[in-house]
Amino acid sequence: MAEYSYPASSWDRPRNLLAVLGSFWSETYGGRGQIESIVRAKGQVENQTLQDLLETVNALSRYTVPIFHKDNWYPLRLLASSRNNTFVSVPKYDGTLTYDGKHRYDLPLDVPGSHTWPLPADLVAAPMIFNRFTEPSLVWSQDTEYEISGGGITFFKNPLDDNRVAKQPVYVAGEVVDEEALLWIFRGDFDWDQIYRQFAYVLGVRLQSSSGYRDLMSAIFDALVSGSTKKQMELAVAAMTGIPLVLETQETVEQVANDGKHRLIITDQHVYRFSLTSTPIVAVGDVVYSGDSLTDALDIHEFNRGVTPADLQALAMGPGFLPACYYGDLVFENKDVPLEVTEAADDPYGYTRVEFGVGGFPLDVQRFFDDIHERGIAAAEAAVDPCEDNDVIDIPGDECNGIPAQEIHQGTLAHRLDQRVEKVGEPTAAALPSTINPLEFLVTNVLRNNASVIRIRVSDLGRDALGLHTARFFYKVVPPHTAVILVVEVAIDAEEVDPVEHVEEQLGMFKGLTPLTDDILESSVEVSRIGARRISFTCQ
Amino acid sequence: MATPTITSIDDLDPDLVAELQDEFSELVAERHPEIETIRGVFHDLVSYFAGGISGGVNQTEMDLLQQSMSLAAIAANPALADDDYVDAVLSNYMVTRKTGAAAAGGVTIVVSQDETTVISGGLIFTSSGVQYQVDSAYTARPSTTTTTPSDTERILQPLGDGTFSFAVDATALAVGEASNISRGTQLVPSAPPDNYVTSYAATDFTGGTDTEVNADLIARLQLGVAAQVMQGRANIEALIKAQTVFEDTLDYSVVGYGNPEMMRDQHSIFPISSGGRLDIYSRTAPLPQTVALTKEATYMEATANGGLWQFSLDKDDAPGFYEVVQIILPSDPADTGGFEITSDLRGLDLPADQFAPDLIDSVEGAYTRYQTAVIRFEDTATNHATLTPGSSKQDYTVGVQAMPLIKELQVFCARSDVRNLASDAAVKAAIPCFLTVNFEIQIAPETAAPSTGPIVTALVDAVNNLGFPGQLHASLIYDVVHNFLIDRQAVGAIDLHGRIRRPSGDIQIIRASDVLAIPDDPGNLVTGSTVAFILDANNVGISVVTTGYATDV
Repeated sequence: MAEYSYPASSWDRPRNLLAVLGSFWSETYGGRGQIESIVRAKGQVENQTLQDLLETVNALSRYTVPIFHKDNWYPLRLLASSRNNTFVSVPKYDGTLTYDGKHRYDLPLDVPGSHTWPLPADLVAAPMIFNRFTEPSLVWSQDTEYEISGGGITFFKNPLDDNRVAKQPVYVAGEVVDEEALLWIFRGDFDWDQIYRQFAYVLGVRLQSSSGYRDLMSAIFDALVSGSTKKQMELAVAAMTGIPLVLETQETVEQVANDGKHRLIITDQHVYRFSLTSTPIVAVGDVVYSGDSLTDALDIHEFNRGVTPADLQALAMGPGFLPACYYGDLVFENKDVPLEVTEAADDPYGYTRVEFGVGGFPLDVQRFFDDIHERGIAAAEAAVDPCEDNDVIDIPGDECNGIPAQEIHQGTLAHRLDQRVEKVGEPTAAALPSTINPLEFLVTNVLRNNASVIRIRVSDLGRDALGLHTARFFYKVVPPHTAVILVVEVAIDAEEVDPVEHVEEQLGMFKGLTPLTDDILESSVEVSRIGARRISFTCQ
Repeated sequence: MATPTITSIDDLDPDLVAELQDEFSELVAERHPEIETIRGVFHDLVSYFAGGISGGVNQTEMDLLQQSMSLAAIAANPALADDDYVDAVLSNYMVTRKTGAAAAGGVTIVVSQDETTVISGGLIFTSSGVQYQVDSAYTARPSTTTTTPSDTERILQPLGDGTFSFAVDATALAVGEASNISRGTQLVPSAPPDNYVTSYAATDFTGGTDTEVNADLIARLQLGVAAQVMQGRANIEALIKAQTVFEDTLDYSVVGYGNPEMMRDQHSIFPISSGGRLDIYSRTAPLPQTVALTKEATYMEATANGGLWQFSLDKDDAPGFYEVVQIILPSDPADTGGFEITSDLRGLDLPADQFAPDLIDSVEGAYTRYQTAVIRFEDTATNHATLTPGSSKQDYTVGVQAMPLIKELQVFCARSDVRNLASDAAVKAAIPCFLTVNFEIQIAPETAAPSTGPIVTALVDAVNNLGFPGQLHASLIYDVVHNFLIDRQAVGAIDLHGRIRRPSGDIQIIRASDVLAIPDDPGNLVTGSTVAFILDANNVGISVVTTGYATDV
């Protein structure tokens, strides 16, 4: 559809069309040149019908449904009175203008050297503009002689001042009131919302028409039809990010190149295009498999084997992963932190308690380890079935106090981290590891069951990326008993400051605010006094 | 099926015709400028018909053909409102249009005399503008009759207050969900029989469904094409609705890993979700049904006004029930208010010898088919003087409100040929937000008051088909009501009142005049993904008032 060739059909061969009319019109008739022009014109009209027919045929399949309607020739009429004088010329208030008394609110802006008209309805791209069909003396191309943005078409030269452009006066009641220029848009793209209108309405997925939209829609359809597979998730995330993943079952990398605008990874079956800032993670000769990442821009990792990617710095567990009573996220970092042990003798419940560094609101962190400890104790104290091969800890009795020996389950977190071979009594700090990796702990014990992570480097999103807001449509693809954690890596411009050269320190006074009133509860004053007296007593 | 065609030049878009005519003329003029293409015969005949009309017809028909392949486009284009086109699209999605059905149920008729009473076959009862016709002629015989009644005969039952009742079967005259009404709803006869006192729905009228319109069908296309497996959310809903017994159920909200309402996957010592669990919140019908049970209660103790009694509801009495809505003595009429419930303690009854979802307490088990309850109530009518606490027993008629098919859904989702090995899906009735809607219709003095029955019916239909919307906008109410109003009639302020029964049994009241939003309270399992609005026709209050408008002159 995107490729254009001429002549493409019998409609592009006017002599053949003329011949169909018979030898009189094609050979004998003196004005056959005019007849040929008429059938040529008819042929061009029917060419558009043929184009529409092909689009209709392509609309039968969600894989080929046209993104845009192609109009072979579209008349672009430009009224002199509308130049820089319609809504598309109203300033956008996006910071590009300084309001210093020269501009007026909500009125079109007449920028010298810029000639803007509103776009025809639904037109989104006009690759070329001609002044006539045959032997055009004016050929303008998009982004060179004009640009399309913000609902308008802006010419860098005024077409009304170009004598190659056909112009005609506009009459009202017999008087000239305006002037109209006529240009012809060649193979313009019109957004008729065909992806949504033909298929995506079924899914309730409405986005701006684009190839990524079509890919996402197809991935969701595939997921519906086949019942959600890994492949469809990969296709959906590739469409969302504009970062391709390996498409075929097996491919071999043949070349890693750079075309000046993109990084290209060429396999024996496809050419994959990435941003220049992305780093390839494959080399020539590598065999890659369906769904594999080719660069570090996008990575899909499944936790099923309990493996934590070394370069995954941390994961934040928030609503949806934690019980409802937590104020905020808990952050599990991928680094070793000390294991803090409260030995059984110091624990109010008589069980060794362990904690480790987890980021988050302090009360949440405390609640988290309180929950683990309480649940662990409950698990430890569940009745032990002597007939089953249980993982138990022997708790020695105390004959002097009449306490019998007993077995308890390895229920608490300390029990589960206990490194002793013979587990007798509560573990002490010496029996436990000195450090623990919080993220590895999380992955090994929880996330390996039903979770995976997709890491996206925002700076490497493809040009055709739909945007991360479309991640909400994953809800239609991800089976509800599983979860996909989306990690969006935002590039940070690091700044370094030399403290010796560029930092000056100066001591100064800072006066605190004086409170207007300062009420102190009587009870709190009394507590303070009691404390002071006790200290005095100790000193004596 | 004929392809969509243009039958009149007037059907063509003038802009398209002009564009094609211009193109045609320009092509000729560029090579033969001596031909006058701006006006005249060539312009009016050759380029107009060969270019504008001919091309316009072909391209417009192509566009119509393309539109006829899309139900969304068909719905937006009245020219394509043809069942053949719709059915052709539906066939691609394995969907067929459902025709509506009329609700059926029983009508209790109360008479003042123990005498033979004849009900004619054409007798019509009306409630909120919906008409119900008795299924045949019936004859009610005196209570002293000893012969076995035929299918069309009834024996009058004394109600203890000097009146007598009998029940007849009836069916709504019109199809549609609006014909579903609750047990106890007043029904007004078109021609009251002899000795008539009152009449009301003896049972819930159920089975009323709407004939699908294009908008309904669009919503169903996704499920039509989805694989019927326990996989994605749409797949699960498609699987359920593909079963004949569930095909008329309304909406499902599947809560799983990563949803804050899912806490059943936090049962390990780590208070973090680990997935593998599904809660399927189910809106199986527009309204919950009231199941009438006969339960034996035990006398517990005397109270100031009577006696405290207790009975149990087991998991099969009314699976996934919401509330006990009525407790009466068996001899009381069905429209009696009933005794006051003093305690409703929910429990769980999970089978030990067969698969059941991982539910650890009554909150997790609320509104599932495993839910049980112990109900205490105060009987103020029975003479308790001679009763023995803990041993005296008596039967009561108990009305229990429940979404239908919850047990059947759970059984289905647990079947070995449906679920995955080790999967865990708990079917729950949607958490109820019982709704009351009150508003005024303000009319000018000279206009006739609108009939409120059809308004109530339309409102109930609109609200009960919202699925799991998370919020109810007053604008929806305005939109529905305005369809029934004429000039110089308008809707006044709307009062939306919701009563949410949390899985814990706590009641949460929400109220608004603009947007009634379900609280985002996943800790109590109350969110927009779990709660459904339930609006009974009896809970719509409309006052028609003549106010505000100046007299029209």
